[in-house]
Amino acid sequence: MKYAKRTIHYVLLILIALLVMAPLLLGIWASLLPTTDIVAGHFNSLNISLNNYVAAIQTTPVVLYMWNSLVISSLIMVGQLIFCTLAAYAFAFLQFRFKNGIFFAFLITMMLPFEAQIIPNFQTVRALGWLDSYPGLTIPFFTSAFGVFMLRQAFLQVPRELKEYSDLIGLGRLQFLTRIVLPYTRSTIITFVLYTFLTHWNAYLWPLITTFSDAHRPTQVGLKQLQSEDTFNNWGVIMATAIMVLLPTLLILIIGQRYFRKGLNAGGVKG
Amino acid sequence: MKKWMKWVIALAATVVVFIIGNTAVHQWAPSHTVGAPSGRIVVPFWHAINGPNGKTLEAMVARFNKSQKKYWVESVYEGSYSLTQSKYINTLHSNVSPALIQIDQGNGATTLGINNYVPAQEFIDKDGYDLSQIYTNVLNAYTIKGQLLSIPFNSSAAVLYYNQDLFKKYKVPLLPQSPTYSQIANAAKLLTQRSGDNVKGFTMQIYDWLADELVANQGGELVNNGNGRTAVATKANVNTPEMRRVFTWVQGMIKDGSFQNYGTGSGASANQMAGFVSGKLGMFMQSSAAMGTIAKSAKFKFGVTFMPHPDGVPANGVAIGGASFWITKDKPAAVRQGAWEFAKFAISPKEQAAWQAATGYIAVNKNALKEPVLKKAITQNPGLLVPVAQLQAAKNNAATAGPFYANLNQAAQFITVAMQQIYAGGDINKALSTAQQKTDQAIQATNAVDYDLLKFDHIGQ
Repeated sequence: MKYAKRTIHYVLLILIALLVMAPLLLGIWASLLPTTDIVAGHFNSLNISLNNYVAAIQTTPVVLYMWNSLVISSLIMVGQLIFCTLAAYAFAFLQFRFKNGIFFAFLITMMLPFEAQIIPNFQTVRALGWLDSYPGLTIPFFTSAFGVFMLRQAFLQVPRELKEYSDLIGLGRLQFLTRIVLPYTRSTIITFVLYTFLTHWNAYLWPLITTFSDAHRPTQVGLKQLQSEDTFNNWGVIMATAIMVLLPTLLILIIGQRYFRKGLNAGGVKG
Repeated sequence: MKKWMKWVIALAATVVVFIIGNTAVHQWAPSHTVGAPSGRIVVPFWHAINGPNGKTLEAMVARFNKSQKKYWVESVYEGSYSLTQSKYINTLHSNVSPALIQIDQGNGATTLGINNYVPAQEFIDKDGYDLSQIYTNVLNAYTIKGQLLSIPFNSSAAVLYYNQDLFKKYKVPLLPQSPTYSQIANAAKLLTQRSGDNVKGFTMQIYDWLADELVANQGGELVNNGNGRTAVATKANVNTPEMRRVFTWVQGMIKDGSFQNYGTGSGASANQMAGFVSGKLGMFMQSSAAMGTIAKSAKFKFGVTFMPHPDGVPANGVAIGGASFWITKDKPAAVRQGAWEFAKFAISPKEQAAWQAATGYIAVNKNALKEPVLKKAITQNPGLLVPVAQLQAAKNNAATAGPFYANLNQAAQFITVAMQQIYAGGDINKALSTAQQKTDQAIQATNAVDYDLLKFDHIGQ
């Protein structure tokens, strides 16, 4: 009886998993098929090969796009790590006037979607001459209200005693942050860093409007570029590049899964 | 102290890896842009052509760069026509803006309104360039008040493709060069019936441009004031006898089951192409620029004809679609000159011949037909001549010059909606009059705000 129930559960789960995974599996399958078969709808064809991947690397700038994404996402990741931890530290450990008011102002910007800030940001970046460059693609994202909020919540859980102890042994503020707070909140920090990386690996709108050449174009915009409007699309190659672009995301998710769960819950329950 | 050193070393290592990686990737990875050698005047050129046709265009740019030592055209694909146009507006007068930009007809009126262009006419007059080698009908599309604004480059017109093998198999008479609505409807019906519904006779993609072309072929204008060419358009002509004729014809075929509706959007255009190539669809209408693809993927003999016209209404000819090169004003004179030199190169007989042979776009230069590349391509695929013949046969009037107004892309959406309603069996008159009303409102709203920008009084004075 017990086994029957469990079997039913697993069968159902597998079915649902397949259903959810179907587009991805179909995409992977299509990336192995020649375009002629895809266009003709012969998805049961067994003409599979890695030719599309070879063609993608040799004929499209996908490697360049992925490099750009890697650079942009890494820079933003480092930038946010520095600025958000410093700000969160201030909100969590320091006492100063209007602290709550300022924190509230931070939270308000979290409610404001990035799309609403695009025009002023674009004007600024344009005036600075940063269009189509790494600074223009990264510096506007060097801090985030969500990051500050998330890290502050985590920092608040660092026991007071540790702060007192570090004062006693004469650690400075920066030392306290790097030697005690960061290791203590490691899983939140890792979640935050990976989350930032993923968000910007998948960024679309901002790069779309601020990049004008392949030299700085990241993956998601690059992928869109591979599709043409009114001519024939080489779907095999497009699918192959899409899968290549997807790989880092999957890797990070698989590696970081346990941190993600821990980290995102960490701020929620105050214990 | 030791720990501090470790950090410095890690940082230095990261920077070194970044620099090496960055240089390596930029050098090695295939990219659409090639860096300019020193000493050349760089001409940034934005275009909206991708895929195999984009590669053909890049090869043309490379030939230009090799042909002389003064200029270097840096071509960049910027996405769809509309995206290219909006990027152009966003970057006006900034350090990344282009000197030469490819703008489609739908965005011509706004590009004129932005008024950041040097009329092509200026360079032509200065150079004494002989315009008689370019088709008049093509020039008309980009001429306002007698002034050529931009340089016509990729020109296409809608044509009708049909599967001759299917026609022969089911003993349906082949189509004449300029078929009528009833000939098409009849052939569609025969194909569908005789194949036992395995083949659908005809489709017309839910794509406003096809409707526009069919209207132009009846001599109809899509907006008032001479298709928006003598003055800024103030009213649309959507619910017209010409439009109604088109959709009455289409609805007839939908009712007798010989019509396949592939829907709308780029998926629809890919699906109808797949249907045609796999022999499940007898006839469809598409840009002449699709001919290259069809020739490559169809394993049967296909025929090409002019766009159909109603019985009793003589064929007027269709408007030229595609895009042209605009030279921008906010660049130094030497760069602007470079832009013109490239445009001139791009419309030379030799380049246009290679362009038509590779892509199916119509060569805008009449002398291209004398070039061996194109001659050879035509012997292999006589269909290439059909759009040219259609262009030559077209009358010179505002209908074939095509619509010129700022809301063209908006109107396209309203017409698309109307087409969806009509294809679903809705009342033609009602669907079209709604589209008419909405387009009129859009035009009025735009004119109320931007009339001063859009009016082209400055031209020809």
